[in-house]
Amino acid sequence: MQKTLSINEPIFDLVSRNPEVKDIMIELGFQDIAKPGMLQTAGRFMTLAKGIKLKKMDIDSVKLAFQRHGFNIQE
Amino acid sequence: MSELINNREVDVQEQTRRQKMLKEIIKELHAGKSVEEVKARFEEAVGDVTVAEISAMEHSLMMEEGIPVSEVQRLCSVHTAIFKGSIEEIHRSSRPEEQPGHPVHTFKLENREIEKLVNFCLELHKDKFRKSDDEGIIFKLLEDLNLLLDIDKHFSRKENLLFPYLEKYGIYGPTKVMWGVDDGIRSMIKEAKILLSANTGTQEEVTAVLELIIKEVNEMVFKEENILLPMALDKLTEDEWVKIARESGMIGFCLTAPEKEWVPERAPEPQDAEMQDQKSVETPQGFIRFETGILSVQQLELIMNHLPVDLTFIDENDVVRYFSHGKERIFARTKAVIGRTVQNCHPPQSVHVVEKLLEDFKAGRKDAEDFWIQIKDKFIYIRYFAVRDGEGRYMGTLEFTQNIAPIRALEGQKRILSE
Repeated sequence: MQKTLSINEPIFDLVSRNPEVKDIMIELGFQDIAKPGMLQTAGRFMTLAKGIKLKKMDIDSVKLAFQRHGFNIQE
Repeated sequence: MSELINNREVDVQEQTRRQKMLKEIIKELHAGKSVEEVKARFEEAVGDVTVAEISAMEHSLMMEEGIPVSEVQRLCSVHTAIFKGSIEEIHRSSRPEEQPGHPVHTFKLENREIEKLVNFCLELHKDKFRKSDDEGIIFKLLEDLNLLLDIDKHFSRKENLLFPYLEKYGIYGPTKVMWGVDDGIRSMIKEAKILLSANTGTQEEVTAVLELIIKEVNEMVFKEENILLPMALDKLTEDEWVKIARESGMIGFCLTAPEKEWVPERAPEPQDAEMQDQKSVETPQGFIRFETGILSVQQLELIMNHLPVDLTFIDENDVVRYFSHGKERIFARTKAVIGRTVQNCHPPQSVHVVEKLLEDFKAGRKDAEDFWIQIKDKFIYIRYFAVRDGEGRYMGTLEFTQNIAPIRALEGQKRILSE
């Protein structure tokens, strides 16, 4: 059963509901999320969409990575 | 309870009545009546109208009456005459951070300039450099990098004015991380300059550094506007933003400057009429007759800026009136400080020192005070003099700052005749 994540939801909310999202994001290259205080502060304003734009990532490969972990990214 | 409900109903009724009247008046104006004809009736009927009401009315004019936006905009000048306020006040965004002079507005304004510099100039010159490393293009790149060094002021304001407040609210992690990245960008710019000016880097090396600078600067702009500033807006009080705006001039601005001081809507400050006049007057072209000679204004200005010292003068009301702006000013000053009281230009921690000194000067207890500090290789001698007129009346204070390290290092003697 795939869980759905919204691309425009704050990362803090996503991680609160699904803690494993944090590890997937670190694996993808969002290392800052692991730094202390980041998730609780910046994470409330940061969304997956913004992160992908900032890191100039390919949205499809991000979606694929999440799919492997059982998440469906909703745009 | 029913009383309260009633009250609300009355309020709503009153508001609709007022809006109806406003709408009628505007329609009359639209039909060609003169401002004078409707003015009295307007004042009597409406009294103190709020900006929100005018907006609501304009909106309903457009929506219900079908008056096109352009027409409503044309009516603005008429509104202004009646509503006494300026158009800007009427159409002022209700969001403070979108008003000129608000620190967030200024940060974003600077970011637009920074983006232009890195994404157009630096990017273009970098591509040209990759093809050919002739002198001309190196010069252009150095010019871009020198301009980009101005980013230091943008970063410094962020780090020294904004971060302390965020830290007050328990936000440490992101600020530390961002400060680290800021420092990285600063040193990359310097590194690129060294590589270019000493001609030590290969074309690939230099291009790589330049590309990294462009990337990091763009990412920083993104992070500021999507994370840092929204987070700060969420936490800081309006008072804190006012303090940041006031202190910003001390550090200075990057590639641009706020067009004016930000005055929050709730607390309008009385406009100093004298200052307004001063702003509109161009630099005078005439001559100044002193007791001991005559100088043109231009000569005087050049002399002041060639003295090997930094001068700042505040008048008897503690208002900053003048500062010299020689090539190597030790403490940055921006034009924004002119016309502000000196208390507003010092960080809260040191303002009491300034006030005590001014008190002593005004009371005649002291005529001068000196301080000296060592900053890196500079030995800075800061002197304050009470300026008094012929009768000994206090007319203001002159700050006189000089790097005396080279003077202190002098030894022996050098005479005109000695080779």
